[in-house]
Amino acid sequence: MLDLPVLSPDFDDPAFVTDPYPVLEEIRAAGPVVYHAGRRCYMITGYRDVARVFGNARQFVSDNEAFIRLFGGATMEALDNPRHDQVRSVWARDFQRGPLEQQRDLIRGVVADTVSAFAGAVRAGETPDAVHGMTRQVPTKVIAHLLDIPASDFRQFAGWSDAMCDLLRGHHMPGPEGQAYVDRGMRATAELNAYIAAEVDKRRRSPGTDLIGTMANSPVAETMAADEIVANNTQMVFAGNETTSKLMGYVLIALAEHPDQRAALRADRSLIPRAIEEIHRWTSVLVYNLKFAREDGAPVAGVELPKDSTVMCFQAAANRDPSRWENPSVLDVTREPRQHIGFGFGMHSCLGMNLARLEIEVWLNRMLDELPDWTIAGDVDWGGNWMVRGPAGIPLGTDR
Amino acid sequence: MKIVVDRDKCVGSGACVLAAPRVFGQDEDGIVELSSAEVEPGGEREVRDAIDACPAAVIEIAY
Repeated sequence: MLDLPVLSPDFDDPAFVTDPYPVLEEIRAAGPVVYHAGRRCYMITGYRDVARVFGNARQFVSDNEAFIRLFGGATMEALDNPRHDQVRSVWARDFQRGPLEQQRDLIRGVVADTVSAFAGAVRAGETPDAVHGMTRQVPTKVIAHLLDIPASDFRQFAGWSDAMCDLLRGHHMPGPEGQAYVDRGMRATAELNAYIAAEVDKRRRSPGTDLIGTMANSPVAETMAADEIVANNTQMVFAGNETTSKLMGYVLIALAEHPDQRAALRADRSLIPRAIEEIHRWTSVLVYNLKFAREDGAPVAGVELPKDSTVMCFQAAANRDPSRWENPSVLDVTREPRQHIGFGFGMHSCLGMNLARLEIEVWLNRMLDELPDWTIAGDVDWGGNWMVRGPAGIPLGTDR
Repeated sequence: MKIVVDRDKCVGSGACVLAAPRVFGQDEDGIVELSSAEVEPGGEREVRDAIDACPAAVIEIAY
């Protein structure tokens, strides 16, 4: 038995999802590796320690079975190398910064339509929910374009995407209400899978340059099972829409709470990219990720763990590691950027990170034009998902 | 042509090592490491591929 400090916080307590940072700081204060007796797992909070585990794919693995259960086939997130790199390479170029610049006009158009309609309602004195009215719409519309989903199918596509967002919320919710979210999310996943499978067939008959077509007709696809191709596309919808929406929600909250910093951004738009990184560091969408030791002696923060140990890697805490950032709990959009771990680290680091950055940059610019003095006009709904954390509802108003 | 990497912003994706294995490596933390700061003749294309592939934009060419 390892001699480690023990803490067993109740993460299901609604106070945790509302503000996880006091509990995360308690864990950090207890030591670099802390055992959770209730969950029987090892919790780590240091930036370097989390990055090391994420980067050590040889000795640590994700819950790959869970990905396969959720998406009906192995996604790249569930693969080891060399196979992982082969599959990831199919879309790698589409998500590079250079090629993504070609999508800027498309994103501008989506953002202009969505923000104008939303901001108009706010200026008229309403306090609509910014999540359903705006932040979920932008990434869903962008990914629908990138997958070349016909406009006539968009409503259905957005419905599946929203139901999938609520699936994880249901997982963290006890009782029949949570189960209803899970059932609806699983049904939406199955329907989206069937829809994507039909689109894959269509692209094979008439190839396109969209993401489905790129994968369906790539040489790698010849080595992929049909359910694998579908699962990767479905996962992209799932992984891209909810996370981007939540990061946008954090931007709304952070800048409403720090109007002086928002004014600085409005005056100098070149600060926006680093401001987005700083807000992401300050409030991480991914609170934690689980990793499992593949073998005895797997190293975590100076401790060697036995095979099959579960490690709870708290990205949200790593992003406030005082040995990496000065005054880490202070938001400062002018802070000199250093890499944070909000998009993960290592071979499974987020494929869509530059798309998310681009969408949020374009969107924030537009918000500063259209609704520069937005306010949070009521209670934020934190939704209950304390793994992929972020606002599920934000009533937005304006001072002017 | 000389290569400069900003190790502080590296996300350890390993994309550079795939693109240009003779130039880039990773240390025990997965952070980018230069095997050689000078690019050999004919190796320029690989390095440009690595620059394009890096998700964190940490590789630059200094002339």
